[in-house]
Amino acid sequence: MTSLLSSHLEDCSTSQYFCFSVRCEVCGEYWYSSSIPFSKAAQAAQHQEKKELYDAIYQREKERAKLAAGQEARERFSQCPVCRRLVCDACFLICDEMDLCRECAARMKEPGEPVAT
Amino acid sequence: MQNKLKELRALNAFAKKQSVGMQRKLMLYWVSMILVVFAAVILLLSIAGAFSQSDEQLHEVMELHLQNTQDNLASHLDRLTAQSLNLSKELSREIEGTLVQEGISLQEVNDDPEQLLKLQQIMYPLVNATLQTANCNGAYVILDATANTTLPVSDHSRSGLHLRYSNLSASSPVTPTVVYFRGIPDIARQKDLELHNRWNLEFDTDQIPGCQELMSSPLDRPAQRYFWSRRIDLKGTWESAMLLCVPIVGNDGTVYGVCGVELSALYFQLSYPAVEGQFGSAVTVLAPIQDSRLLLSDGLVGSVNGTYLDGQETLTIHQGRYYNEYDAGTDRYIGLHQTIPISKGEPADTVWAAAIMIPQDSYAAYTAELQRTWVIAALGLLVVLLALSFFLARRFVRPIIDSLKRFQQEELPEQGLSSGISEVDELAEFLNARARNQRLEQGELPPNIAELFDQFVQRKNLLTEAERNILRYYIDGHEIADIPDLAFISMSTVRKHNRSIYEKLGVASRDELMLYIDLLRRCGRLQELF
Amino acid sequence: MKHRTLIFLLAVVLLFCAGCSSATKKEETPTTITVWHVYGGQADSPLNDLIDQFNQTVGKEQQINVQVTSVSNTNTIHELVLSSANGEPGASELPDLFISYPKTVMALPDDSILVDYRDYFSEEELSAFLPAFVEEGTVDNRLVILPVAKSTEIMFINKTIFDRFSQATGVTLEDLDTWEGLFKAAEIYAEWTDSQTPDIPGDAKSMFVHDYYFNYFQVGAESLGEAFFQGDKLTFGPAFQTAWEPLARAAIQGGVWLQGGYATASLRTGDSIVSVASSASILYYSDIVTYPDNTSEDITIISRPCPVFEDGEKLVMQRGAGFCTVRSTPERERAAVTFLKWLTEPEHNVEFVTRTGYMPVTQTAFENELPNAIEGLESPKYASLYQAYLDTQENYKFYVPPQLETYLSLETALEDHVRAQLALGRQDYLEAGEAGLEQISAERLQTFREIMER
Repeated sequence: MTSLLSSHLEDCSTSQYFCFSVRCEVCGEYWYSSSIPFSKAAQAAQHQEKKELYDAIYQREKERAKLAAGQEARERFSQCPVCRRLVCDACFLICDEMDLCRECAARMKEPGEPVAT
Repeated sequence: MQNKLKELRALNAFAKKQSVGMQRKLMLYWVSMILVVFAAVILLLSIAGAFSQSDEQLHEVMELHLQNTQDNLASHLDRLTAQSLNLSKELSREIEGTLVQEGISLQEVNDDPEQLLKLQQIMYPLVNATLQTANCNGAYVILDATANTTLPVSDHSRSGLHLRYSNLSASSPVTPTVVYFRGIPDIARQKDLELHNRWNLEFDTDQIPGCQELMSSPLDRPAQRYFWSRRIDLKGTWESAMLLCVPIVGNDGTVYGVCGVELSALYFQLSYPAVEGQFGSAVTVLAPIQDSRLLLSDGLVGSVNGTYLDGQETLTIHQGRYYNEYDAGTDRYIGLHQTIPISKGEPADTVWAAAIMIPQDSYAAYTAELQRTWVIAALGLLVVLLALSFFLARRFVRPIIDSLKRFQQEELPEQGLSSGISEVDELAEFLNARARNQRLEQGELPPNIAELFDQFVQRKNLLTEAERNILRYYIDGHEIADIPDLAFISMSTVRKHNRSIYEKLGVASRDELMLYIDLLRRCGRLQELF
Repeated sequence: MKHRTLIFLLAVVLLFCAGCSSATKKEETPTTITVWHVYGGQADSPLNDLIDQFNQTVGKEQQINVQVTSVSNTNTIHELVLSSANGEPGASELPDLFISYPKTVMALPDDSILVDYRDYFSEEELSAFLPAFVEEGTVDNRLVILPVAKSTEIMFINKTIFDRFSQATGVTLEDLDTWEGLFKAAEIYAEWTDSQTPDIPGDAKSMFVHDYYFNYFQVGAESLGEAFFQGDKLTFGPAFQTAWEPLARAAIQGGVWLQGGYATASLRTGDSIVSVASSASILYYSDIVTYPDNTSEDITIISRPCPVFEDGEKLVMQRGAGFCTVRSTPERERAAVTFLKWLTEPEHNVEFVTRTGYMPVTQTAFENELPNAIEGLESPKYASLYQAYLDTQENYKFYVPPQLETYLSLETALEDHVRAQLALGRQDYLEAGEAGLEQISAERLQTFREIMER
């Protein structure tokens, strides 16, 4: 799941903040991860000569922020076992036999309750 | 042989060691009991005479039939005798009248064809009237005189008249043709009668045994002595007949001759038709008995429809309890007979009998039929009884076997679940109690905890498939956090599932759940959750 | 479960067996069929012997029992059949088989009571019979009379007495070959016998007797080229006249036996010595003559072909009735036909006919079996008969009487009145004397014609 999610994370970071988004493939809504500030944002702006050093730090922090965003997205996204699409909790239904995305459930006429409203 | 015997013994011993199924054993007992009862019933029935019933029935039917036949025959023959006696009296009067008128004796009529013709002319109407009124097919009169004493045959050739019916048929035509068998042909021409193809002028008294003797001794009255001759072949014809011989007695006791009626084999055959009955065709017979043999060739036989009797047989009589057997050599007949007095004052004491007989073959066919019905009925009954015993044995044994089967599955029947057989229930209770003690001894769970487990296991059935999937991860030892990666579902989904799992299984937390799982695993009952 | 079905099936099968077995009981009893026939009369009947033989062999195998319930003559059977077919009170029940001429069948109110043999015989089987015989048995296109034996008219002669007569008067056997010669001989015989007892006048004895004067006139007229029947009446043409004259002359002079009854009876008592009768009457001729004084004499009977008229064709009556089968049940009909088929097999047919004085009815029997059978005949009486038969076969044409409904009544009437008129003529002659002969004959013919034409 973690690797699936990380492949779906889209990068929306700026030089000050790190932010990632995941798009629900059923409703099309974007979810944004909590933005994390770059710890050396001020210093990096002041010390152009140490730019390479800060870039490296930036990259390292971004990796961490991406992992965190993945963890965060893990709370909300499931993969429909039928259509294999990534769906948000609002579009994922708990059914008797097997949990399904809203569209698959509707197609198969499986009654179910969405995980989140 | 020895080896085979040994083998058989070995097999028997082996079979004894083998334990036999309860049902088969029970069947065996049932079957042997049924066989004993069946044999007893058959024995009782045969003692009670159920199998000889047809013999008895035959006896009754034949007795009745014989009685009828004898009555018929006796009254028939009696009437003929009465009519012949009457004929004799009238003839005697007429002959005497003529003799007196002519002033001659009967001896003087010998060698005098004209006197003979005169006598025959006065006798003709009487003989003809008797033939027309009596139930017979011929009437005759023989005078003790002949037309030519010089002939070598004169001692047994006697003048007389014999009229017969020629075209008898089964349903007695009203006017049968009278033919002229013996007598002077002039009368036949006067009366427009056809001469018989084997006509003769005079009688040959040698052909009628006893006739000469009857004429030779003087008598008081005709009824003193008369007889029926044995069946004689009418010379030159295909017919044979019995003749009633009544003497014609004059005033002084001289016997003028013999008169009477004729019963031919054909006439008798037509008068006494065979009676078709359930046992076969019954044939009427009137025949003399000699040395316990029935001489059909000397007597008369009724219609033989349905049998192969030809009326010439000599039947050896074997007396039986219900009926007699009459052995003809090739064919056998069964029936009854009874003596019947038809002659009087006859020195040679021939015993005549009226008999009825049916072919043994047809009776045998009838009884075989009956026997077959009995055998089939008995077999049918036996089969039904066996089927019943099989069914009952099965019914009796099945609950026992079922409960035993349940024991084998270690599913000890509970108190409320009864097998319906007290012994089995007691055994079940006993085994239950013993099993309980055993478990406690082995340090197993006390019953109330086991009950909890049971309830837990029971509730598992409430889970949906999706929930059961999640539960399986826990049983496999996974943490909650592992579930999203394993099941490709969001953590919120996991949590939502968890909530309903806990609720359904009646646990408060994951820890409690894990405790149950752990305990069940230890008890070895974990597979029950799947 | 399997066992239970098995047991159930077993029970069903057993019950079925029990149900079936009761149906097989009646097989034991033979089918009895009754017969009225004419072969043998009151004498020993060869047909009865053959019937016994059939009952003992084929009958036993096929459960058929043939029983003879009447042996008489065709006229008696004719009356019995008619009275029972018409349902007259007191009539006998019809037998399964009876002997009959077509005239009986013609007189039946409804001939569908008889079996059409074409239903039981194949074309091939029927083709074995001589076609003329089958033709004769066909009435209204139905074959209802099956030929079993055929006869013709034959002249029988008491040779012992004839030889005596011949020696005394010079009359020869050859004189009897023509009717004219025969009746002349009868006149001579009457004179000869009358003269033997000079003290008793008018006691002439008859030489000749004819069984059926009807046949004499019928065949005579036809042989002289004149039709005997005209519609359902008789023609009294010149040919009739030709036949009448010699007969009347002889009869009036006492040379012809005129009393009723069969020809055989007067030969038995010596009242006549020559007869013309059916070849089948051979059975009834005795080898003895018994006289009124109870003396008897052994005689030889010989046979010659039937006489013919000098100017006439050699024509002779074809006779011989056949078997009719009365409709009943298929089993009985089949049994009756089985018997008839057996009886008409060449071997049995020839045995039957040669013992009764008949001719066989099938081609094979005629060609193969009969010559052997004739050679094997032991009795000179029968040998002579079959010699005469073969002569007839060779030289004569056979005459088959037409199928007329009035045939029988014409026959009976003619028979009675010819005898009666000739007997009256004889009386007249005895009273009137020699001179009136021609006149008496003519008068009697006149009366006779009047009676017959009434």
